Amino acid sequence: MRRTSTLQCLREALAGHVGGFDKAMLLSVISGVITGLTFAAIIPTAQTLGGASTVMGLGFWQWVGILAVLAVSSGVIDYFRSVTSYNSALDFLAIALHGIGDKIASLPLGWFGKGTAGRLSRFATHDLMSIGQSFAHLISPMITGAASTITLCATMLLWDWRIGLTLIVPLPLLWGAGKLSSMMLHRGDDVMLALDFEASSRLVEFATCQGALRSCGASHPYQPLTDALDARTAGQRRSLRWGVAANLLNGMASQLLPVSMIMVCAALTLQGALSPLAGIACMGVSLRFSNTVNDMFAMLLGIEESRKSLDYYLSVMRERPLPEPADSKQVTEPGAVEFDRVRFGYTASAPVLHDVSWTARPDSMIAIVGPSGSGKTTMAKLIARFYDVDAGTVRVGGLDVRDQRASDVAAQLSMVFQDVYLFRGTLIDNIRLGRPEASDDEVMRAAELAGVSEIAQRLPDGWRTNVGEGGRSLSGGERQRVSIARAVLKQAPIVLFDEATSALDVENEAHINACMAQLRATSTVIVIAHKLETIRNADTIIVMGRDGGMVQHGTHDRLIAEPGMYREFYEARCRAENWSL
Amino acid sequence: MADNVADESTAQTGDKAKAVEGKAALNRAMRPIRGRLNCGRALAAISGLLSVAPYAALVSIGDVLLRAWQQHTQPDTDAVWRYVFILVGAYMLRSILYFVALSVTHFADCTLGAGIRRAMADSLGKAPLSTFNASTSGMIRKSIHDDVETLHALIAHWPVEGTAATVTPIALFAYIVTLDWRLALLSIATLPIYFGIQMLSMVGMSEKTALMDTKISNVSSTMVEFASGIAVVKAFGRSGHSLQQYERAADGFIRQYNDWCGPLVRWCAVAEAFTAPSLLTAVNLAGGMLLVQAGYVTAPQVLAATLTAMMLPSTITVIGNMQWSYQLAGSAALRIERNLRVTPLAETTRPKHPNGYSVAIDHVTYSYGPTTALDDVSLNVAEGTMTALIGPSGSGKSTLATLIARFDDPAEGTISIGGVDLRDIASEELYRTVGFVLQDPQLVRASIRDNIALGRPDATLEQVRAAARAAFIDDEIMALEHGYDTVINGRVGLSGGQEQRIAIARALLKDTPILILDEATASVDPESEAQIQRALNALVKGRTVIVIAHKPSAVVGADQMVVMDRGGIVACGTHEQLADEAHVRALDAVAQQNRIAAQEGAYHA
Repeated sequence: MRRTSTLQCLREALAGHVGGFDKAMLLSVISGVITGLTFAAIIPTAQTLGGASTVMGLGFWQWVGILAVLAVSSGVIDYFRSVTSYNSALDFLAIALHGIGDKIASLPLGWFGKGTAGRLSRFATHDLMSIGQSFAHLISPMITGAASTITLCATMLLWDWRIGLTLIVPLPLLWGAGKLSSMMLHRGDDVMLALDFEASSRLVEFATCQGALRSCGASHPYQPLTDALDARTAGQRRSLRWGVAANLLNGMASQLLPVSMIMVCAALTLQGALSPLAGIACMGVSLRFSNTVNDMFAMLLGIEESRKSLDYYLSVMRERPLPEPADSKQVTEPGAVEFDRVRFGYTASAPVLHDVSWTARPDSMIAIVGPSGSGKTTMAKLIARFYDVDAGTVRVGGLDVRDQRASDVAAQLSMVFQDVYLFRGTLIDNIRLGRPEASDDEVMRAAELAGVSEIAQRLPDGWRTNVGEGGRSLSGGERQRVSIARAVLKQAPIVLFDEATSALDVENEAHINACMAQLRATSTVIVIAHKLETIRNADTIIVMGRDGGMVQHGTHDRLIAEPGMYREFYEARCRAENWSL
Repeated sequence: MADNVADESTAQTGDKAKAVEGKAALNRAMRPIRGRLNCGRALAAISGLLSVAPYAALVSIGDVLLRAWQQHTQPDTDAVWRYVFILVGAYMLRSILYFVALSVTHFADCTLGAGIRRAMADSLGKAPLSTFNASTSGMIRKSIHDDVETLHALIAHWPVEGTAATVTPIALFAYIVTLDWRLALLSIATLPIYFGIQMLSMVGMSEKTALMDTKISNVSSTMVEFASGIAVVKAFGRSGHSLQQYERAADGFIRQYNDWCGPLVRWCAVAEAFTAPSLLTAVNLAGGMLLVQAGYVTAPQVLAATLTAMMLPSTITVIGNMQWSYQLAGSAALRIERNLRVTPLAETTRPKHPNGYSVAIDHVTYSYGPTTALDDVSLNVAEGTMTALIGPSGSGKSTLATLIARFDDPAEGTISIGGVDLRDIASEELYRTVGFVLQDPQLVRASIRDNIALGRPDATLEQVRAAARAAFIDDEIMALEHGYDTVINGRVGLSGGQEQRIAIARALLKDTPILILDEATASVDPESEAQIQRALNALVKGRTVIVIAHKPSAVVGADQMVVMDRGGIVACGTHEQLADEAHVRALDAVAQQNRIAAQEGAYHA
């Protein structure tokens, strides 16, 4: 379960720039040694303070001199330790921000799912800082604490083996108690996690279904919510009790060290084995030293926290882009698309496409129809190489997509999908993305054809309006128009088009139809079709079955003439179109 | 640039007012558990005071031992052990009290969190239905995950940690003063330098911190844009440009961060050298030796003061974080409070019964904030008839329809059912009278049977199945492994169309005389549209229906068709009467044109 050590992960996160980090670690060790020696030096100094003329041949002022030297060197070392730790944290920030950027740019589109953008943004705001904190403020003090513990134990052992042993014997116990208590804490957390999730999702459900619940008289009280909240509270109390037990154990264990030290020192002093002030100094040092041990526990928890962030970062950085050749071969048949016995599944156990073969000639129109879950969108994504097929070949322009550079595949395609993303910038900027070198005239023509001009009229600053992140000020239909204008402007040989949302409003449809006509004149159009007109006019209709296999394919006239899935589908669509309440 | 400066200065004065407000909100939030928090504080304070005891005991032990050592006699063993036990006892008691204090506040926080969640459920259950929208679930998740968590950090930890961090150094210092005032001065000799440097480093910090916040959000939003737009960017082979933009933001952030944090780290490192254990011991022991030689103090006192002085700095850093935590928790409390504050619709004390099921809308005006959604709308719907609302999006159709189910009260005018104003009908009776099927089927995580029977929990399975049959969903439910006991959650994989038909079965079983249908087929896959349509046909039979449709052809059979635009009714009549009306004609024409355009496109190619 325990993966690679955190230190190793941090070094990996620095991607080769470990020089500063290693220096910081070395300085941390030195700083720890100095701290340990300081604690140790207090005892002889105290002895000479209390009347002994010399200890180990050194008088009081010489011991104070040693402490002063230690003070100066610890000041200098700690300064450089802080600065180098901070610099390695800064290095990490730079490496991580740029590394993630480059990684995102190189990963296949299939890697980007629904929550990916949100997760990445949380990474930028939260995880990045958490790992940085761990670099700058947790790892180094942790190392310092460990080094000072070892130094103190070693010097004590040399000075008086009984005191040394008293220090060392509890340490494994402490470590064991720490492990056990962290296990108990996790246990409490595990109890809570599921209950907390249940309570929040019930609360969200209560809100989103409020209309139905209220109209059904089920909202006062809504029993599942009440139960979930009660269970959560009870669970939190239970988890708190685990936490209390864990902290109690931890607290008891960490008291073991100073308490046993104090007892042993008292006994040794009374026996006369220790001078009175040395005994007192020992007791005092162990009181102070228990703080260091406690702090190490707290830091360990903090490091564990940031470990989750670190793991996420490394998991992204370990993703590999789909392999691509250094140079694409020349496409042999621009505009052609071919599926050759393609098999594909998002997971090995659930295949989405079975042995699908079809060909789209250049400048033809292919309509893909079938029930939801039959793999229509997946096929479109395979053409754009969001993923690699499990078996068979997808050819674009007559050439296997795996034998072309990603940018060369992209250059042949325009995609008009359901989720349209608009960037900060004007409508014109967003359309121009389709072909940056297009003239203003061409951009305006595309905008006009797709009906973007009408959107501009509605917006407060017209064409100059910033459409904002994700294009929130535009409706779904309007966003789609911008996306179509991009495709019209790009004039790619192949257009992938998803009709799903286009039926929503009547005005949109007119523009979309006009653009479709234009695109059909210049490109191969592969459309996930819902409208009867589109289907009827396609050169080839591909009918997908619920299990992801191709059931029928051919022209409308041929398919409608024979009984089968297509005819049923078509008739159902006709009824839906002509339906009235 | 000038704008930016102005923005920041107003943001800062705003911040101050917000901090005060936040503090007040925090106090209000903590009121129910104030007693327990005070208990935690008291225990923490005692624990802080007790931290002196071990050092006092050390001094006593030292006195006994040293005297004996100097007089070359046997030390009083009993006395020494007595002090040792006092030392150990006080040390342990101190930890135990601290631990108990933390437990008390943690359990108090648990009570508070439970209370907030319950209050949230209460206010959701009371808020007018018009306040729920697409962002509701995000708002709730944010509120419970972020805000309640932030409160937890403050309430469960700070009363104890803050109190201990304040009381402990004061008590320790006071103890050294009682030993000897010169020792006391010695113990804090290096602190002025420490604080001086810290203060110096904080000059101009708050502006820089504010700037940091904008930089961080800048990176994060560029990151979001970069990540969510990457599909588009890659598809158009333009990832280079977008990447450059992102890298600029990232570099800007790192530069800014270094400007902000770099000097701070250096200054702190210098300052901390003055609280290092080695320096403290050297200064205290050297100074103490001089005082011993001058005969002011004893060696054990010097040693105790030295050891105590080493404890002082570790408590200082804790207090530094406190102010910041308070501010965060304050704004969290404020947000929670704001979310909880709802004005429920007034419930009548003397309810009247509607006389029949006609609907009358009389000069109704309604707005969402500054935007007017309905402007002086009047409409009559006779009992048992179907009325279709058509018009472009944003014309006020949905607002008008949902007001009939009293999602909210109109700002002006009245809506009445059977001659009785909605505000005079008891809410249970209103919900028994008006039902609705909206775009979102609003299924809850329960069995399909319970979902259909939500409005009639006493319905028999046979009644439930009859409703499902009428909604053309019974066979599909029976085909599921667990049939009607299948629990609806994300994993069952019901299609949007199936879910919508379950919602229709629910409405059928509930059997309200008035029904509102808002684009019930809009968000489902076209494949299942036909099935929903059949279910809807079954549902509308014999009821007063108000339906919103985007195609006039879908509601040609309606008794009355109402064309809306910009919050007003532009025309009203049957489809035939309205055939010449501009809007209907335009809509019909567009539909017609669509077909032609698509076909032309086909021939063109």
